[in-house]
Amino acid sequence: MEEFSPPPIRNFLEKKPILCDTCLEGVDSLIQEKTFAGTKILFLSGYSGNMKKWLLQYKEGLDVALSPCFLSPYLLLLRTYYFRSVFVPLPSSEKKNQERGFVHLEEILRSANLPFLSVLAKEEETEQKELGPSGRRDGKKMRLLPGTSSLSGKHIVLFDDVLTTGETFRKALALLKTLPVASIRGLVLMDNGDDWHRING
Amino acid sequence: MGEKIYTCPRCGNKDPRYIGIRNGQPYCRRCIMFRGKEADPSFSPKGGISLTLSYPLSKKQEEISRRTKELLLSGHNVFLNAVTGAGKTELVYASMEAYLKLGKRVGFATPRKDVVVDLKPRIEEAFPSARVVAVYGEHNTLLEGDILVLTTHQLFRYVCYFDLLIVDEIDAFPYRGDEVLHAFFKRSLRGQYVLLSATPDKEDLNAIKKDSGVVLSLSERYHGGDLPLPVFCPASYYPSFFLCAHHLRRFKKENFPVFIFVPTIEIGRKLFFFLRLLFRGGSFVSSKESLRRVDIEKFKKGEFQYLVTTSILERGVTVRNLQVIVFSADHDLYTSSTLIQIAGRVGRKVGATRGEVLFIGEVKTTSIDTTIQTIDRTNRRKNNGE
Repeated sequence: MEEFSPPPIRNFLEKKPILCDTCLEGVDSLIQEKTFAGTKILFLSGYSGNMKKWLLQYKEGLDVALSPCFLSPYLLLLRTYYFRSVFVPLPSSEKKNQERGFVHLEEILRSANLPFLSVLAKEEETEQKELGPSGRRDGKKMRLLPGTSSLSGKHIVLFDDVLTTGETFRKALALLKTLPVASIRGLVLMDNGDDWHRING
Repeated sequence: MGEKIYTCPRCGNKDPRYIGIRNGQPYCRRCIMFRGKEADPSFSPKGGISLTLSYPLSKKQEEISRRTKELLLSGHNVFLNAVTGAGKTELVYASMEAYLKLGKRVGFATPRKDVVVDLKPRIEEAFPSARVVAVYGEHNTLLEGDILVLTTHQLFRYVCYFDLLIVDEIDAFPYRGDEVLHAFFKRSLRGQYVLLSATPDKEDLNAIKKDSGVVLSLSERYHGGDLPLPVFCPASYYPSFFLCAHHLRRFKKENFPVFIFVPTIEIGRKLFFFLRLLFRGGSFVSSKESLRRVDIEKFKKGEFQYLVTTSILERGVTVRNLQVIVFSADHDLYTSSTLIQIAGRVGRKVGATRGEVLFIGEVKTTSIDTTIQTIDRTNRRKNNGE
């Protein structure tokens, strides 16, 4: 592993550069804003390159040390574009969080020093069973947690790592829209897009 | 007071740059992606398995094979330094049989998945009563068998497991220089090992000697013929395309199958785009082409006459009357070891021991020069009976 000395411009723009030039070159940045479920979503990259590789190592390999890598190339953009916004991470199941030992989206936001509030939770399978056959849904049912009053009047950014079908994202948006917030936008690391593009029309 | 240094119990990593902290506990980031089911430590092969070889070994092969078996059974490790086309795989069959007859666990590992796929039927033919199991990336549901043929990546599933482990092509990517793969190799051993290579470096040879190992060399091919001596054909960038086409036309006229090696996928795409305008009956294969196995099979059956290929075909492939062109042979990616392996694709079959190897490039690099000199020296040594 070679030591990395970032050039002055990166020191200026990034405060503390994390990724070396080789790693940065491997990121297939594709910054695009698209509309999904009536909401503007900023995508940072396609589902390819280093981002995809790191996400796999992060979530499946449990390599929590990678958490700063995902947003670090874009921090200046994000801090400017989402000035005074609060990020709301899409929830993972409690079971997955316990298996991993960390909440993967929260860690990414924490590493980037972006303000966030976890107000969404997935209903667990046991909770689903309690609903009975008539109330049971597809395992991705979500609910709001207590503490949403602190979001009142704020600008919200719903945050996820990959958008594939967009079903979970859509459900989360629907819940957030019931809150008295100033605005809702989205931020997604990677667009894994054919399915959600097709469903979105 | 010194801090306790964390050492990964799996791969031995101590480098703090590769150690992370999760919930207050250190974890190793080097071997983190090697996760999955491990082999059953209580498994025992059935024993009494015999070798059935339908062709004889050469006198030199017999000698090396016998000596390898003696050394292994007396507790030594062996490095077989044998030229391309020497029949390295056959050199270890007698040793495999000796261990299998004792009911011991035998594995044959190689860095490349394509080689595992090609090797499995050959080993099944040699040991017809053995259950031969292939283990690689997308094929790892079954991990136990009488003989395991696996990629070096899959060795992480085997802890203190093999009584005899043969590792072929130790200088090939990705095994070469990968400390994690080397650590898993060591961890998988319960007994002796054999390393095979046609292009070892001094470091490889010294390492085996330090580890109760003996180096055995075989500098002649199975059929006794010379290794094909490459010819350097200088040409600048644009003329090199036409030079390549000229030689391809020459080979096609004589109905010889041709591999045209390229250093990168990008160069391969450009070259194939040019060649297909002039010649039918070819294809481009690389690790990125999902149909590469289909195209390689078509080539072996004679449905394609030429393949533009990246490094995926530089090892383990045998095609009768094959001719080889290396395009951009002066590229940085072509080390002498790679060029020797590529040249070794030619003249491997009995009755088809000759063929041409052409290195097309702007500059005769040190790698090209070393390759030609090494092959020439090996041929002279063989012809002098050394």
